[in-house]
Amino acid sequence: MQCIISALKSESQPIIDSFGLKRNNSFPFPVYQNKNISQLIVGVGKENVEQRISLFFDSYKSKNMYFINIGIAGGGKGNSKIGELYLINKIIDEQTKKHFFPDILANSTIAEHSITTVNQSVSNGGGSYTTLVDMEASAIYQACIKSVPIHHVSFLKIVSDYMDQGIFSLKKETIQLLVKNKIEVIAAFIKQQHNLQKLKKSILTNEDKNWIKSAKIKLNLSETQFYKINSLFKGYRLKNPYKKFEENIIKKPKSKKERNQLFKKTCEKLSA
Amino acid sequence: MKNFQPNFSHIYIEENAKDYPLSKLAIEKFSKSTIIQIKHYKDVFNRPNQDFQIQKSSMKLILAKKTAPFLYPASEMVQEFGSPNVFYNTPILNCLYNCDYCFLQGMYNSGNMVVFVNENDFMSAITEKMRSLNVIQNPMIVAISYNTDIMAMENILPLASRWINFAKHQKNLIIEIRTKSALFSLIEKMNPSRAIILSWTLSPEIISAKFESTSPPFKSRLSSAKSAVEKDWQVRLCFDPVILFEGWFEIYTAFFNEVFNNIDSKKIRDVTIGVFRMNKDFYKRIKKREPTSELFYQDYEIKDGVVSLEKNVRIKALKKVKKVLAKYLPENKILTWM
Repeated sequence: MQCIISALKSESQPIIDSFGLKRNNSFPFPVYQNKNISQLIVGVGKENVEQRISLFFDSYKSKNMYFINIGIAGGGKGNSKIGELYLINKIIDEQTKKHFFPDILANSTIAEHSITTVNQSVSNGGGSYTTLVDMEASAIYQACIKSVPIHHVSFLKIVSDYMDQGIFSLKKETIQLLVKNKIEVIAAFIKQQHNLQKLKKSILTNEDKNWIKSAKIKLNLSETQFYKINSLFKGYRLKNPYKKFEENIIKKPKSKKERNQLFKKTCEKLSA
Repeated sequence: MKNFQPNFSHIYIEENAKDYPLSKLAIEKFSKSTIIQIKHYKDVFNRPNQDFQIQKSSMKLILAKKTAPFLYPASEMVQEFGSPNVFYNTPILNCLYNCDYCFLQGMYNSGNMVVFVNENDFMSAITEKMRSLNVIQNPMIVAISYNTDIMAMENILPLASRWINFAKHQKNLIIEIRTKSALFSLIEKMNPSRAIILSWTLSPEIISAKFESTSPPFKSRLSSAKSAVEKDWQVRLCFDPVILFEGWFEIYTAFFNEVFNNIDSKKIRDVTIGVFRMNKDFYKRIKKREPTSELFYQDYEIKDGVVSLEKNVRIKALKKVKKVLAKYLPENKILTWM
């Protein structure tokens, strides 16, 4: 599952339209989804970010979830261009002075930039910033990495203004257009993240897992024995990627002694 | 892999590291890399929730200035542990290679590499320590490639040659450079010195292909070690870890034969042997991430904080290995981790 996080509905609308996402009303905040992609709207500023992300994550609890923050940001006249999309490689939280570094692993032609997350919208020209400026990135980063590995969190920002008007004075049509104009690049990025996601595969097949589960019940394995069988089975599967493990545990053992003998025999077969 | 950025696509540099010659060299070498300023290397290297293995697909370079300590006592998992005056240091954290059995994947949160650019501070710490050794009759031995493969980096940053030059001018110092690289050619023009031990880890081709797939193949390493021996460098050969599998003894016997058919065993300083072993905390940390190497799914024992094969299994195996090696070298030249 890939989860796109935006602050505003107007930032997410082109994504909702492009991927055909439908509102999921089971969440107490706006979530739009299809089978593979979710769009989560967290509102402007850090306030709701952690709660909404953790509530969303808890409803799936998949460590293989990828988060992408897509939204607008203020930029400097000398180092950014209005309408340009940037991949963020450094986030500075202005309030805490903490720095965060998203992993940049996937091949990409998107230009990179750093960003400062501020508490108040900047409308004075932002002369003191050499970075892009937004109001959520640091909170999104911190909330996401509580649940998933760092490389599962990315930030794409489109420069909407040169910090001379403040986010609230931007028209929603303007914001939508900024995102819409970059939708192909965004879609390609999402696809690429999806490809990375596919690289992580479980060693055990579902059949293997079922075999282990059944062995645990039939043999009444202790936790230590279960852990050992699980580990040895992974070794077996790595050595024999396509070979079915034929050992059948048909009947329940009559005693602990018999159980331990069967366990030992199975371990030997798995390690052979 | 085509999905990933090339290694060192990004260089993270501490503010106080940027004026060092090594930093300038690295930035010049990777002129297309994105440079990102950082306050402290740990802000990147020690981030929580990193994935060591996926980061190995696109390693980043972190340039930093190390603060003391610059020298550590040797680990008990090193064969020379027990000799007086044996130390290691960490001019680089992490390795270009990514061998399945390597403890670094359990030691560090990150697959990225840190190069400490204040090399003179490391060297000063050694000269200072040499003045206060407990056993002055023995030389001070410093492993400089313990948490990395410094020689593998030589065509990127010439750290090994700088260390060789340093060691040559010290009295009573020996530095050990342990490597799997095939880059001896980059230092072969230097004069060999008794103050340097070049240690090559060698494994049979089948083991190398399976468990050391990111390192140079066995034959390239052998050829590098051979050149070093022929040029009168002090060479140590590390057959470590010896990996046990069905038919291992025949394969290792043929392998030793090939090694010593190419390298004159009389010219070797010594060899080290040992089986797979790892600090239990590192092992547990790796295992939690579900590594894809079968090495982590075997039946091991944990004793005194070390995960390894059962004692009787490893002693029996290493005795067999020692017996074969004794055909080529006197026993006092076979250092064993039992």
